[in-house]
Amino acid sequence: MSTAAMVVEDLKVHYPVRKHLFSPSKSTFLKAVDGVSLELRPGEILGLVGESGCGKSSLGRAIIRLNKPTSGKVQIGGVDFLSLQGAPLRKARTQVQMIFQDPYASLDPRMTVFDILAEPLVTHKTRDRQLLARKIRLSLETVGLSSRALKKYPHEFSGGQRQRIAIARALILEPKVIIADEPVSSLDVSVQAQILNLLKQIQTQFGLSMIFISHNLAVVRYISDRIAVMYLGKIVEVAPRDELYRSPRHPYTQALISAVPIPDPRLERERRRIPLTGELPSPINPPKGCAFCTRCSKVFDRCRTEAPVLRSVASAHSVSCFEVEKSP
Amino acid sequence: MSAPILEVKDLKAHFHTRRGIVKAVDGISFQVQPGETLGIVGESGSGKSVCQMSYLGLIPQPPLRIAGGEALFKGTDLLKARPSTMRQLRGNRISMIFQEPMTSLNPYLRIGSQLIEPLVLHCQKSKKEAWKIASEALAAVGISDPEAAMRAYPHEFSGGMRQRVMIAMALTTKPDVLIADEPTTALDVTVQAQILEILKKLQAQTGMAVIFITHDLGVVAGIADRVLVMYAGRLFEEGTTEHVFYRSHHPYTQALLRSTPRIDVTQGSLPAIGGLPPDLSRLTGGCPFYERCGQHKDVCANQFPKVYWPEPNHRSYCHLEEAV
Amino acid sequence: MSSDGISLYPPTPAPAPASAMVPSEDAMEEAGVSLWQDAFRRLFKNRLAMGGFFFLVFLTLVCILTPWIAPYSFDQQNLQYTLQPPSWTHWMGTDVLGRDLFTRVLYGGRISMLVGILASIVSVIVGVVYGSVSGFIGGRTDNLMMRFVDILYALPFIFLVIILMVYFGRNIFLLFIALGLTQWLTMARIVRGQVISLKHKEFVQAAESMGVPAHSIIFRHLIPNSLGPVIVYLTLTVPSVILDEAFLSFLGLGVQAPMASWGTLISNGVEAMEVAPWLLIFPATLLSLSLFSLNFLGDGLRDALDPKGARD
Repeated sequence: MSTAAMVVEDLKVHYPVRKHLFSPSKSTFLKAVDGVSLELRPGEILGLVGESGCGKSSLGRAIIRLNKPTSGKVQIGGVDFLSLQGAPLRKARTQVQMIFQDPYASLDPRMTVFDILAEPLVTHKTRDRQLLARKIRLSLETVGLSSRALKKYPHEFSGGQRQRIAIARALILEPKVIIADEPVSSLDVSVQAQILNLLKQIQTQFGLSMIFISHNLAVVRYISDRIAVMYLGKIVEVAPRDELYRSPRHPYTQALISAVPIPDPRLERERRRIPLTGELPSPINPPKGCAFCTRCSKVFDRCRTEAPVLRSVASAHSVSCFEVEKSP
Repeated sequence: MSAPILEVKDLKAHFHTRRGIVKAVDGISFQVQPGETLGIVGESGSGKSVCQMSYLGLIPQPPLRIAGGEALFKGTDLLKARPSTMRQLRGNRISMIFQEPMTSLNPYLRIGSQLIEPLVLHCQKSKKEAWKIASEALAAVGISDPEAAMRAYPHEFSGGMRQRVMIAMALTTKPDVLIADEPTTALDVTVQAQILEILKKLQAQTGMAVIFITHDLGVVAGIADRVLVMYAGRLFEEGTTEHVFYRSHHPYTQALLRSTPRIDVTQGSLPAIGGLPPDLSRLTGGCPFYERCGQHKDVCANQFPKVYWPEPNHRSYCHLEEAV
Repeated sequence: MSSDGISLYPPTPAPAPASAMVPSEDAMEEAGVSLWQDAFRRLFKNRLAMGGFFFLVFLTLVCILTPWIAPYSFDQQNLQYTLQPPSWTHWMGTDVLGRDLFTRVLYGGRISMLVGILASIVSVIVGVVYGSVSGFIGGRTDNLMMRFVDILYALPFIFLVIILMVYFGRNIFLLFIALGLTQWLTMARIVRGQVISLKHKEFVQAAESMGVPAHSIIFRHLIPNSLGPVIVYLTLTVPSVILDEAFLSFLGLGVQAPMASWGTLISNGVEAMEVAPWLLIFPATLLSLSLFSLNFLGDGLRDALDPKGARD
C-alpha cells in the first residue's frame, strides 16, 4: 500500500552456522528471522512482542540495516531501503532511526551531549552553526532536559535521563519511522512510565510511526495501537491492541498472555494459566512444520509437516495456525 | 501466631565509600513466619537485596558495616554469630537463589557434583545417599531425566532449567528459609510462570518460609502472603497483599501501583512518578521520597515518619497519617 | 513531522510533560567532568605513579638542557685522567679514554629517551591505524591482516634490525624506525581487540544507523575509546624500546662511538667492571630508575583509566 509508512516483505535473516571446523560451510543456518512481512501505518505504534530468541530484535536491526538481511524487502516511504548504497542510503537513513535498549551503552562515553546530538546533523551536512544549535536545544526541550545538559558527559546522568538523550538524538533528524528496541527494559520501574509517556507524546506531537519492540506484554498494551506476536523468527499473530488481549487466537499468544502476572492478588489467585510444555527449540534446527508444534496443546498431524501462514480471521486480525483455520 | 522463624529488628547496614557513607539499609524491621512467603518489593537502590545479604554475612565487611540492629534466626542473632556458625547455617538452614543462574553454577563441574555438595558438607550424607537425594530433588522441580541431568554441565541447560537446578540445590537440605533474590527477572515470562509454580508447590510440600525479592509487582501479587515495600534503604509499608495492593496507605506504593502497566486493562494514561531515585550518599534524615512525592508536607524533608498502623498487621511510614 | 525542514519548531509550543522535568537539575554544575578528567584526578592520587612522572619530567628537562648543563663535551678526551673515580671535577668519574662520564651519561640519556619516544610514536601510529582498520572491517580482510601480523611476530626482531643496519648503514633514525616497527605488532593487536569489542556496542551501532561513514566511526568513536589501553601500553613500550636499543648497543649494533647511549655506556661499563665499577653503576642506575618510573606511570595510568573504577 502506498500510504504505509513502512512495508516489510518476507524478510529473512539467516546466519550460516558451522557444526565443526571441517563441515561444509553454509549447510546449517540459524534462522533468526524467517520470513516476516508486516506493514506500519502512518502515525501508528506497532508493538512487536515475543520472548527471547523469537527474533524481534534481529528484525528491528535488519530493518535498519545493522544486520544484513538474507533476503526480503523493506520499503520506507515508498523507497526500497535494502537496495540502496552510498549517498542515497545515507540520505534515506534520516527517515528511520533507532532507540536502543541500554541507555548506558548507546551513548559514546567520551562525547558531550552536545557532540552526541550534533553528530547526526553534521553527518548530514548541516553547516549553519546557529541552526545546529537551535535544533539541538529544541530536541533537548522536547525530551524534557534543559540545555545545561549540553556540556555534560553521559556518565553524569541517570538511566532515564540518558534514554531521553537517546530519544532526542533519534528525533533530531526528523525521521518518519522510529524503531524502539526495548527502550524501557533497562530502566527502573518508577522511570519506565515517564519514558513511555514521553514516547507517546512525541509520537502524537510529530506524527511518527513507531515499532515498539518489547518482551513485556503489559508495557506493549499501554503504548501500542496494533501488536504483532513473534515466535522463533515468524509472526504468529497480528491484531489491534484490544482485540489481541481480549481474544487471542494463536495458542502461543494465549499461553503468553496467561503467563504474565497482574499486580492484583485476587485476580492472580483466580487465574488459570495455560501451561507450556517443553523448551524453546533451537533456531538452528527449527521443527519442520509449525514452529510451535513441539509445545502446543492443540497440535495435530498437519502441524508437524506443514508450516501455516498468516491468515485473516477478523478485521485487521491475522493468525498463523491450522487449528484456527479449522474453526475461525 | 507462632514464633517467627526470622526476625530482623532495626537493621542498619552502611557502605563506607570514598564519596561518603551510603546508607543502603537504614532501620529495617520485619518478621517471617514459618511456611509463609514474604515479598520484598523495591527498585534498584532500595536496599532490598543488601538487606538480606548483609545479615547472612555475604557482603564483605569493609566496605559494608553493620551499624546496628539484630537478625534473629530461631532466636540466634546472626549479626553476632561466629563465622563458623554462619557457614553451618548458610546453604543448609537458610538457602539462597539468585537472579543469574549462569553465574551461580560452576561451569567446570557437572551438575551432580554441585548438587551433592551441600548435602555432603552439612548433612553428613555419603556421596551415594546425596546423589539419590539430589536426583529426587531434580525430579521434584520438574526435570524429566534427572540421571542425565546430574551428569550434564551447566552450559547444556537453558536459563529456566538452570534456575530449576538452583532451586533443587537450595532445597536438598530442607532449609527453614529460602531467600530468592529476583530469581525470575532474567527469565522469559512463560518460564517465569513455570518457576513460580514450582516454588509454590515445593513450599506447600516442605513448609519452609520464603523471602521473595523482586521489583515486579505482578509477581509479588501472585506469590506472596505479605509484602514489604522498600525505598532508598527504608521501609515504607508492610502488610498482606490485600492491604498493600487494595488499601495502601503510602504515597509511594500507590504511585508505584498506578504507574505500572497492566495486561488486563487498556490504560489511557499512566501517571508516572516524576524525578529521579535519590543519591544514597546524600540522604538527609527526612523521608527519601520527599522530592518526588506529590503530597509532601514540610516536615517530610527533615524527619523520617514514625510507624502508623492503619489496620492490624498493616503498617505504613508516612507523615500524612498524622492528620487523620 | 511536517516537511518544511525546521519542523522541530512546533507551531504552537508543545506542553512539556510535567513528569519529565528533573527537579534536581539545580544541583548540577555547569561544565561536565569528562572521563579523562576523572581519570587524571585518580592518577594524581597515586603516589608511585606521580613519583615516576616527576622523575621523568625532571629527566626530560635535563636531557633537553644537556648542551648547557654538561661540563664537558662528550668526546673530549683527557688521557692524563683515565679511569678516575668520581670527584669534584668529574662527578661520575672518567672512562678509559679520560672522557667525563657525567657528560656522556647526559648525552646518552638524550639518545635513549629520544629512541624510546620516537620509536614508540612510530609504533603507535602504525599500530593504531592498522589495528583499528583491521578490527573494524572484520571478516576475511581482518583475518588476512592479522595473519600478516602473526608472520611478522615470528621473525626475530634482532635479525630484522641487523639486516636493516647492514643494508642501509648505521643511521640513528633508521634505528628509531626499525625499533618502532618491531613494537607496532602488539599495539595493533591491542587496538584491534578493543575495536572489535567496541564495534558491537550500541553507541557505534547508533552511529552506523545514522549514516556516519566508516572513517568517522573509526576516528571519532573507536579510537578515542580505545586510547586507554593504548596509553598504558605506550608507557610500557618506551622502556621496552630503550632496553632493545641498549641491547643492540651492547652488541655493537646501536649508536656508533664516540656517540654513546646508555646501552653503550653499560656495555663499556661491564668490560671495566672490576677496575672502574662507577662506569657501570651510574648508567645502569639511571636506566633502571627511568624504567621503573615508566612502569609505575604505566601502572598508574592503567588503574586510573579502568572504567570500572570510575563509578565509585
